[in-house]
Amino acid sequence: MANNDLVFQSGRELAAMIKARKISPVELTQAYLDRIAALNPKLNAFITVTKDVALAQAKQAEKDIAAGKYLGALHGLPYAPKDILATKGILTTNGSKVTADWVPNYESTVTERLARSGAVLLGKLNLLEFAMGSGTLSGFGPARNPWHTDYSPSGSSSGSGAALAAYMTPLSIGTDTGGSIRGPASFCGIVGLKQTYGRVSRYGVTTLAWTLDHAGPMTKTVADAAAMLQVIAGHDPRDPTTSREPVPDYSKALTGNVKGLRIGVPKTYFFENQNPESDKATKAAIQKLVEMGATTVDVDVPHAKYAGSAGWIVAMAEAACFHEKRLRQKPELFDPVVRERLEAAKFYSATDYLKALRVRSILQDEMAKVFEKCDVMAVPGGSPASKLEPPETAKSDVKPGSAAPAFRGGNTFIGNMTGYPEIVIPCGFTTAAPTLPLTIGFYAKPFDELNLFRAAYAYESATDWHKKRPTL
Amino acid sequence: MKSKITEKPVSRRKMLQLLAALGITGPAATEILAQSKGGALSPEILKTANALIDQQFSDERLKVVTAALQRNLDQFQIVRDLEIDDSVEPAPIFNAKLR
Repeated sequence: MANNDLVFQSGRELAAMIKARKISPVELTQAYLDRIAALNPKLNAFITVTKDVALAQAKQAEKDIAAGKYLGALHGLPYAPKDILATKGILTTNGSKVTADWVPNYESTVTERLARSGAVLLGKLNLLEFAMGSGTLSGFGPARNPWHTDYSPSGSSSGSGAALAAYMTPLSIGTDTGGSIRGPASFCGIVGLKQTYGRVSRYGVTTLAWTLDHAGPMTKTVADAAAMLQVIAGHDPRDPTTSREPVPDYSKALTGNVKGLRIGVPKTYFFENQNPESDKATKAAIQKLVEMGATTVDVDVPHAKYAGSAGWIVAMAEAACFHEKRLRQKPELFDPVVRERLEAAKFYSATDYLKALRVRSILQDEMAKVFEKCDVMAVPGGSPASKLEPPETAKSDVKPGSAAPAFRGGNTFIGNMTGYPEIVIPCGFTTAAPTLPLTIGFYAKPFDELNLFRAAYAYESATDWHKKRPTL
Repeated sequence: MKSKITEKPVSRRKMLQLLAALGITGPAATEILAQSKGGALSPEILKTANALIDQQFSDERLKVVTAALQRNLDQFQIVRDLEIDDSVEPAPIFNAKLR
């Protein structure tokens, strides 16, 4: 296999080749570095490329594997996290001019665990400023969608979505406070997992909102997401919100068998206001799983429409509190949209915040009832990608002359508000030009990522949407 | 039997919806809102409220923040309008033990 073809293999395929010593981690890392050098000027997915670190880690992996010290499925595999995870001694910008020169003296738990598993750090990926910027005016300019470069890869894990879709890395870590893993997964046609709140440590991940933030896998395939979660999941004494729930062997879910799996299909909200093609592709994917042996059952989350607006109150109130000092000291360095949101949130009332938390209680109860009836709930992953916003309109959320609609929060915010896990995977492409990816999402009950992987892997194995490549 | 009537002020959001239904949008709607008692904010109101949040904004900045906050309040209105049973307590964070 030519070196430049290696990048098109899945992480699992590459891991098998590394383990069998058919390829060297060094040649694999070099192949990705070459691809990054070729495509990053076009896509702006990477803020920092850690070439020397990557090659040194790859050489170490090669040496250890040759000595019989194989560490597991990620050993020698390159990855790149969103540049909001602290990496000791390596620039960590948070996508912001405010922290453009920050070199942490500590390591996030997630990147520490990945390093311990032998993964190779290719660099740090672009994002919307502090995971909430405009995308256009954030600190390092917008990442671009590889399917159409004048389209957005969504955010806030924009660089992760773009880099994966363009085969610039086989694995990534994104963060998700209202949909920032699953949105880019949807726009870019890749796999995004927001696992249960508390399943993965937030230590060393710059906060957007303490009670909503998650760091999770973004990959090309479901098996790769499972392999990454296996490594990063588990209790961390440095993050008191992490759970002591045992971490199961996720590979056991990768069977392709969905016989008897009960798929909940929501009667209201989740399929409303969707792009018709997203709706159609999602329903077709559910039908495919039914043909494979799953069953469907109607479910309902009656207060789902409140998740977005309530979630926004929680997110921005917590963000304004977290960024209070920086906002006082360096307001002019913030993306204008981020600054506007944080300054407005200073005026939110405690009553509004607490009412939003009462909505969270209602949503958690309703989601718990859903999973008394089913194993997974299937929803459209999101709308197809939209065009990048031009700089002149990206300066503010406010569009004069009309009232803003209630913030809907898509089909993702409910996962952050409730803590329930969701995986988003490709399930088609738009038929009208331009051709853009479509995705389906699966929710499960807390700590039941096994059923997410079971449903998602089975569907992925029976289709080839995830194998399609953008023309670059 | 007497019907129970609850008098509730018309929110800015609802007012805008009503105006749109009457075909009044854009600057005309904004002007009507400004003259109404529909809960519209102004930089002057926020200037007074500055003391509550212990932060001073310039007049120019207050205009930006006012517009952004008004937008947010419009977006929150459905949450403010939601009637929640007294038995429902806030969930400050996801707690697996309670799920």
